Formats: sequence, C-alpha cells, structure tokens
Amino acid sequence: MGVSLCRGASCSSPQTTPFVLSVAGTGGSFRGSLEFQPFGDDVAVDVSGSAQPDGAVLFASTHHATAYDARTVTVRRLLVRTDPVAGLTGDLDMRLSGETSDVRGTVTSASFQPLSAFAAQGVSGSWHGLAIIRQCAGDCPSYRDAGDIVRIALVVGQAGEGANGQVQLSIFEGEPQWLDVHGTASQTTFSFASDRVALSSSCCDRMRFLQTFKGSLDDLGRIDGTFTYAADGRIAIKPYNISYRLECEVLWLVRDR
Amino acid sequence: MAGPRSIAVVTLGLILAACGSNSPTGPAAPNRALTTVAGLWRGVFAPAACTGDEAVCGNGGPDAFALQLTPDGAGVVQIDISQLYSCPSDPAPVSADVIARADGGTTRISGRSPRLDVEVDLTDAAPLQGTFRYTANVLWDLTQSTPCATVTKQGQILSASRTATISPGTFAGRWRGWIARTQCSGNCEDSDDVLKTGAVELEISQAGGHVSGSFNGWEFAGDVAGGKLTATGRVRYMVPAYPCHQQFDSNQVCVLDLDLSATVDALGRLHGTLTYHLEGAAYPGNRPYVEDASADLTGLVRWP
Repeated sequence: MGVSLCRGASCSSPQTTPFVLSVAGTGGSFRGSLEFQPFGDDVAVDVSGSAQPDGAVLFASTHHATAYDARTVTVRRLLVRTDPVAGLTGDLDMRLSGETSDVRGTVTSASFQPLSAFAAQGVSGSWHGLAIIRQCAGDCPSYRDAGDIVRIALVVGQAGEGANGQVQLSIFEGEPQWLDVHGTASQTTFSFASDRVALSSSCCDRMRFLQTFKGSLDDLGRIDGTFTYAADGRIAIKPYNISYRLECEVLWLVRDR
Repeated sequence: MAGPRSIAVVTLGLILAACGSNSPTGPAAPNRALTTVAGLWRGVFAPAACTGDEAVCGNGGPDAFALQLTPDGAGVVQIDISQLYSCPSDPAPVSADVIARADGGTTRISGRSPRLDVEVDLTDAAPLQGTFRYTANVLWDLTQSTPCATVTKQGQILSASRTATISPGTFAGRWRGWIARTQCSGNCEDSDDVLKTGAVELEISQAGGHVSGSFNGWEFAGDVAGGKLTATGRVRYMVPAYPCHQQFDSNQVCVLDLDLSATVDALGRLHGTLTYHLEGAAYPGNRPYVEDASADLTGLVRWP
C-alpha cells in the first residue's frame, strides 16, 4: 500500500509499504488480521468487516493494536475489493497514537495465498509477534512489570504428535539468545517447555527457562496462548538467589510470510 | 468478496531468487524424485553445529531458508543467516544456484557462489526433511573487500512448506540485495543518499502494466512492458533559496531524478540498472554537490 496523506508528528515522507491481510468469514461477515509496519515495526490489527453492495468489504479495528513500544494503531476504515489485475485494491484510514497521526493510504496491489495452505502445516513454521506481561511472581525485577510488552520469535518443527523448536523473547537479559523448546502438538494446539539454561552473558538471570507455553491456532492461522517465563538464581546466597516467574499472554503471533 | 469463504491476502510474492551466484554444471535429467521435490519451499534450518565467527555462531538461532527447484533439478537456495549484532547492515539472504541429483532414497542439492557453499540432502519431500551444511560469507557493506563474518553451519531442516502464491505481477514484492555503482561523474564519494551502504531495499507494487514503489526509501512509478520494468522517481525538496541553501540544509538532498529499469530471470531474481542525478548539500561544511551516476542491480531476491 502507499501512504497518500499523513497529518501529525509521526509522519514521514510518503512510502510504499507492504502489508498482509488475512481474512476468514461466512456470508457477508468477515474477520481479519492486518499486519503491517506503521511505526517501522510489525503490528497486527484485529479487524472485522462486512460486505458492501458493490462487492467490496469494509473493515475496521475491533480494538486498537499495540506495537512493541506501546504505541497503538486504530484502523478506522479499510475498504478492499478483489481486482483481476491488481489482486486487491482499496483504501485505508487509521490513527497512530503516541505522537498522534492520522494516515490515509491506498491499497495498490496484493498477492494471494489460501489460508488452507497454512492450515496443513499445523504449528510448524516461523512465527513472530508480541505478548504482554500479565503478572510477575517472586523477586520481580523493577523493569518487568505487568503491562510490559514482550517480543516473541518462535520456530517449530512438528513430527506426528511431537514438536520441537526454538524461542526467543525480548525479556531475556543481554544479547538475544534462543531457547530450545520441545513438547507436543496436534493440528491446532501445542504445549512446549524448555530446559533450564544458564547464560553467562546475563547479569541477572542466572538460569532461565520457558516453564510452559500453551497455544492454539485460530481460523486465521494465528497463535493464541499463554506462557510462563522463569528465571532462577543459581547461587543460593542473597542477593544472588533471585527467582521470578512472568505470566504472559500472547497479543498476536503470526506466521512469517 | 461476498459469499462464504476463507482467504488470505499477502502483498509479497514469494517467487524465489538468488544473488550473485555462479551457475553449477547442467541440470540432471528429470526423474520422479526431482519432480516430487520441485517447487518453491520456505522453511527453517536448525543448526546443530556452527564454526567461524563467534558472534554469529553464539546466537545459536535458526536460519530461515528458501529453496526453489525445477523438475529438471536446477534451482536456487537462499539462507538468511542469524547474525546477532556483528553484521547488522547485511540486508539480503546469502544464496547460490544449485543442482539437485537423486541418488537412491536421497536427493542431494548442492551449489556454490561467492557468498554461499551449500549442500542439502533430502530424505523426504512430504514433509521436506533432511540435513544441510553450508559455509556463508556475511557482508558488512560493499566497500569492504573481506566479509564481515564467515560461518559454517550444519544441522537438520526443522520445518518447511511448499509455497503457492498468486502474484499480481512479475515484479510485485519486497526485494533485497546489493547495488554496485558502475559510473559516476561530478562530486562523487564512496557512498551517497541513493547507494547508502550498497544494500538495497526495494518495494514494488504492481497492477497489470503499472508499478509503483520505493528504492531505499525513494519513491518511483512506472510501467511494465515486454517483461521489462521501466520507472522514474523525481524528488524536489521545496527548501528556501532552491537549489540547496548553504546556511542550514547541510546533508540535505534537494534534487533526485532516478530511472530504474529491471527484468526478472527464470528463477525469480531481479536484475537491472539505476541511473540517477543527485543534488544536495554535503555534511560537513554545507558544500553543495552534484552527482550523476549509474549502478547495477545484480540479482536482487524477494525476501521474506
């Protein structure tokens, strides 16, 4: 899509920017997820829509979506129609919070993939998204508060009912690392955990692990779920014996495409 | 869009491509094994061992890959090396043209380019399973004569799926790769506001014979005819005392005229040339400059 008009402090020069719109629906009612980078970072916005008399579908946010830096996006209008030449055309009207900006864009073209192609993969693949810390228990660091946003990267390979992969969370201390995870998965649900891993680069989390990560796939191919990340001190001497658990809820977790 | 159905729409075509590769020797004859694995795959390598650059290996993460094979065994492999912070400016996956050869129950895919020496042994195509080994040179930027990092990794395919994207045009998508200046006159420096580090981020939206997009942030529009893209971009910053004012607009681009022409080859790589005229005020010193240059795009790839 191309940005045709921008008013506000967050505006930069007009730019062509990619997006992904996943849509499922029956009759004249549709639900969707709009993935794009209004702040230069990925955001996925839940939208719902209804068919228009001319064959177009008019979507709007069901609630505002949160970016990693806590800024929000509200899609006030996304009108799209299939097009034999461009694939998809339409227009977009949205509001960005933070330094509030109103942005209008034009959908100029789009490629197409059926969701069924992803459904066959189950949870296998590469995923990225955001979660929110709902609760912290134990010796909680001052910088790990309820309401903080966590970035997630997840790769999974599924073989029968077994699954393994790697996960990276922005709440890891120091340089980004990957934790090996393993567990079970069906076509639409999974449950993972990791081993306890000691990371020498960490100043504070001597041992860390993913205690649980339970999720399910929705009909738009996204992962919903919750996970518990834990950090334990390896030395049982104060002040080195810190131990805490972060309960997190996935805000959105979508397949890399 | 009325009626009961379930769809997904994506802006990015996923036709596979490679960059700066040397073609290996000719393809093998088509056989059943190669026909089975033919197509465009995207997936993840899970390295079990990594040697070379400690910062890259220390990441320990998965590497996304794309593999495109034709039924006669010709193809291309692209790998996005997990890099941590050691080579942050490398924008494109490393890639190499490859040849697939079926041998008993295994299909070996191998190839070599200046940036990638790769072997993949497939044991199954439903789902895609097998092992890999590759040595990759990760670039810092085009002005460096040696790679930022060299790593050798081996392990197994963690996951992979065949991709079937219906794209509105040959050029539509998000392209990554490198640009190399071939000619320059005027006030030329090693880098400028078009070349930057030599890394290219090219976004193209295509609707039939019309294209629009951005090249390293500079907008353009044009046409596609006879399999060739021709586009232009014109920038005029409306600063006082146009052209560039020496008092306050240091490091400012005032005028940019760019002309882009490009084609896409059989394996989905974008090749082309960019010519541009640039006027601005340099930093430091507010020195006005004028530059006319040409550059080659050699094998940009769609990624991700």
